[in-house]
Amino acid sequence: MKKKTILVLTVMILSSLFLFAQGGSEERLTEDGRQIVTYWYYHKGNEATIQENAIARFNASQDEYFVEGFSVPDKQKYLVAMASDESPDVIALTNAEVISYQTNGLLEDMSTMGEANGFDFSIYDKPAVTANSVDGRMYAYPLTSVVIQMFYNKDLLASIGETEPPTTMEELFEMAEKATTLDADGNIDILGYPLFPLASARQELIYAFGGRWAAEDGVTPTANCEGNIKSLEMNMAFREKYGVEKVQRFVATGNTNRYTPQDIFFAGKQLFRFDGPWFANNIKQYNPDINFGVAMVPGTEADPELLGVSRYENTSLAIPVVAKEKDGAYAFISWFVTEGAKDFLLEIGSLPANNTLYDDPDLLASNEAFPSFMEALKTGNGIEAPRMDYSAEYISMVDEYLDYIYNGTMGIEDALNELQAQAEAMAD
Amino acid sequence: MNIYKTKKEVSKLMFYILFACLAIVFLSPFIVMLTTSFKTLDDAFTVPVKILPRDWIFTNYGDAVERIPYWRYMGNTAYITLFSLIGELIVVPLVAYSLAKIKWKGAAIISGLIMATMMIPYTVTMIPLYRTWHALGLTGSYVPLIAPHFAGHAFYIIIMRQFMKGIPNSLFEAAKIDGANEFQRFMYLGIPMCKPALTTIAIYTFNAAWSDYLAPLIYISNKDRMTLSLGLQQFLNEYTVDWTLLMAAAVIFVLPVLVLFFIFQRNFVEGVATSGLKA
Amino acid sequence: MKKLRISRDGRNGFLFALPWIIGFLLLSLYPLIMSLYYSFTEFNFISNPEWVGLDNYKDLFGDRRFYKSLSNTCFYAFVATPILLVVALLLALIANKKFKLKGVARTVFFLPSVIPMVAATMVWIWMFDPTYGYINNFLSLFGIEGPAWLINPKTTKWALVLMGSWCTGTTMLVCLAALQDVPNSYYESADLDGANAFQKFIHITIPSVAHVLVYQAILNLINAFQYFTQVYVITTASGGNTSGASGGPENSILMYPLYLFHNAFVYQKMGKASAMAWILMVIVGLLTIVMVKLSKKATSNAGGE
Repeated sequence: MKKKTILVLTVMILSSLFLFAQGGSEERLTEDGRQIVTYWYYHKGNEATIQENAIARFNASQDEYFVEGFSVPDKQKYLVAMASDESPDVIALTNAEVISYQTNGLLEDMSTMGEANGFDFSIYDKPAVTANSVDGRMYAYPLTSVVIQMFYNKDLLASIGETEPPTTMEELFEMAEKATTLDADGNIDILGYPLFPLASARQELIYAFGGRWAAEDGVTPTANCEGNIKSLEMNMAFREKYGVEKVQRFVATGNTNRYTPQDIFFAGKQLFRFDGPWFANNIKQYNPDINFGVAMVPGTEADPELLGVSRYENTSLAIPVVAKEKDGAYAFISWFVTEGAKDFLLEIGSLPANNTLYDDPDLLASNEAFPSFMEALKTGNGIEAPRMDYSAEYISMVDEYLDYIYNGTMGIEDALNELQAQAEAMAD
Repeated sequence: MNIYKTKKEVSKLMFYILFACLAIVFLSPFIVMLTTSFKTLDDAFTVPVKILPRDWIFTNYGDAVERIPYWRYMGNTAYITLFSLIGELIVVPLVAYSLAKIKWKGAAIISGLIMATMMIPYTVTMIPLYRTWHALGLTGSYVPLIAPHFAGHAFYIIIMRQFMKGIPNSLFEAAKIDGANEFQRFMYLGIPMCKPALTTIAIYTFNAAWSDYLAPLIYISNKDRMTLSLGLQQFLNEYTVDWTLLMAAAVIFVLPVLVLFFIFQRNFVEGVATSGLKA
Repeated sequence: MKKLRISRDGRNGFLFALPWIIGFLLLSLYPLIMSLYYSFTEFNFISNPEWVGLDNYKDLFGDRRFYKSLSNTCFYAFVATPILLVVALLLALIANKKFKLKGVARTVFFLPSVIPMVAATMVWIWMFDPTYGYINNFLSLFGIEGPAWLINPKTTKWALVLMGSWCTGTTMLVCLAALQDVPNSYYESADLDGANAFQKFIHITIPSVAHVLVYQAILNLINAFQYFTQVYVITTASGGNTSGASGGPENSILMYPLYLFHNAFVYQKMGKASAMAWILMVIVGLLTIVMVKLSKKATSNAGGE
């Protein structure tokens, strides 16, 4: 009997021990009395260090708040934390995620907060505003923008007897065919057509033909529109010419060593590459000998004015509705997208969302590709991600159906029609 | 006679060769993990792949440990693992003893229910449990990760019960006549005879708690309380994976489990083997 | 007097089992019932459940990806699981052979099963890389061009089978124990009858381990329906997907629990996820009952012979 009592006691003590070891509520003030603001971002490695540098600058700039940064292992953490009592006060999201989060009512209305605090909204052009808005209200302030342009290997271009980059997709296809070479086993050695990275194949290659995943309103799906079909027809013509599986394999390798010293572009195995402005920095870092140029994404013969069309994306900063320290969060965000933006952008090599930085001489000088990217940004022609309330699911479905097409599992029109039907069913 | 002998020798040799190949196949992921962790990124991305690093570098380990708060995460993981172990090792034998050695009506019902709970996918209870812990204000703490271990894992209870059933009843009867009460019989007869099963349960629990991914992903939001399995995710960037660092981190992650396994291998294997015998 | 003793046993039995009973009520039964209720509601991370009747189920039955994930999981349950069972049995046969490295064999075959899944999966992703992976580099030594394992939708599932074969240690050990229980006299008398190795395997080995195999088959089948961590790690580690909810190429490894997870934690459709959970529960329950019935019938038939 005594033993049993001892056992029961032991169990109770141990259980309470682990309960209490958790206890002790989080201290929300620093030792010098500053309010702690938690900021979570998804950048990792070197980019996480750059985030921390920006945070350190903010913390040094004033004495009311103290921001603590954290690089989340997985974006699901944001949601889970919001549901628990440990929501971060500020989160970094893509503009597509801003829409998806706000569809579920998770974010603070930044338009209202900004109006109350006298925020100067004129620093944002229309694409930056719409990309982060639901029903006309902004739910995040964009910090960086992404537009894509065409990098090309000048030596490879010269080797096929060309000097100027293509301005239409038809020209591009012709050059790509000439430049693509195979090794003795029939495997691709040099890739001409910009099938990699995958995200630009889903976006810029489609947009270049006037294709869209959603209509102008952002919410009506247009998966089977003519431009999408035309783009994929050319895409598939290239894949089939060199073998669907051979292309797939080459692209897979490209995906593995992306942005490493062995990146297929740095290794001189890719003629055209649709990528962001940071790519110029990567070239400088990994293979400065590559003789490259930057040009606008081509249009088509039928629609030459599509020249330079690209996605428009942001990394944006938002405040969860369940955040505890909203004033501090707002103070940090409004600092970060204005005063704090330039140093951050210089380090990370991204384009600004803030239009007052478009002509900043330091930024323009920091990256040899920036001037042309900045021009593209100024046109305001960027295409935003779909904004329907099921957009997260829609984008997963687009990826799935593109797989079907690329692998030859389904015909282009069949796949796109089915995708469109699925999307419409979801809209109901 | 001689020919027969040579034939036998040859087939023996063939078998050894076959086994050697198989062993290499089974060990290759370990080899890959270890050698890649000593390579430079350049080296890892060289075709054709060489098994051994061109130059052995040890900085991956330092960098990996620096990239995430490694020792803190390891401490957290060890903490969760320790309490999970305590929970399972106390509760599982108790419940198993009740089912195997005490004659009462509930034993059959509970045995059936335990089997039934094994069928419940974790995903079914995941969302309600999450909301329950949330309502109790315990999300973010380790309680949701540890508490289930204090109820005993169904599979472990079954292993233990099988093992206890194998202990002759006459021993317990004799102790009873000598005046030992139920708890004494459990404590001084049952427990010492179940060491292999206890070892098995301990290693299973250790491995499960040490490497649990989903539960910490769902419940732990404070950056200071994250576990190692979440930490490994830090090496998967948005577009790329830091393979060499990841492998180094994985080696350190896996090491304690391997050490434990080799120390207790004999008991452990015996315990696992018993688990499959028919209920 | 006798009655009193029974009730003491009852009390003791109950007390010993109490932790599990409490756990069962709070951690299994209650969530199970709540999950059923949630499947008729709609809510996200911060809202409260709102009754929507059968909407979630209707939604699921019209959802192509629901069927896709179900069929992927069925592949793993009904194609991969039997293969893995055979692999485990073969490994057990090797480890049961009388040779000097017997102990080594057992350790080597079992070792992978004690490796944390997340770490093991990441190593395998690296092994499967079509260019830098060891598997294809090894195959190329023989002039074979290996497939793009995790990129080609035709091979992704087989990559999982390969990965699974590496991790069959527990089943292997259980089979090994059963093999060791087969009395040597059976084989000796068969030798006298002039039976060859194959005949011995079919007529002695298989029947002797059959009950263990069936039991393992049921366990592994149940586990197959919960197969999650590996595919989660694989799909999150393959860069270049921006949706945050990938199911591998052509969603070919979008397993049922993974799609459930996407619905709950990415699309924030907790009600739909709960409905999926309950459908899974019913499927697994029915399957287990069928398997148990079949195995009872099989074993009683075998006993009658």
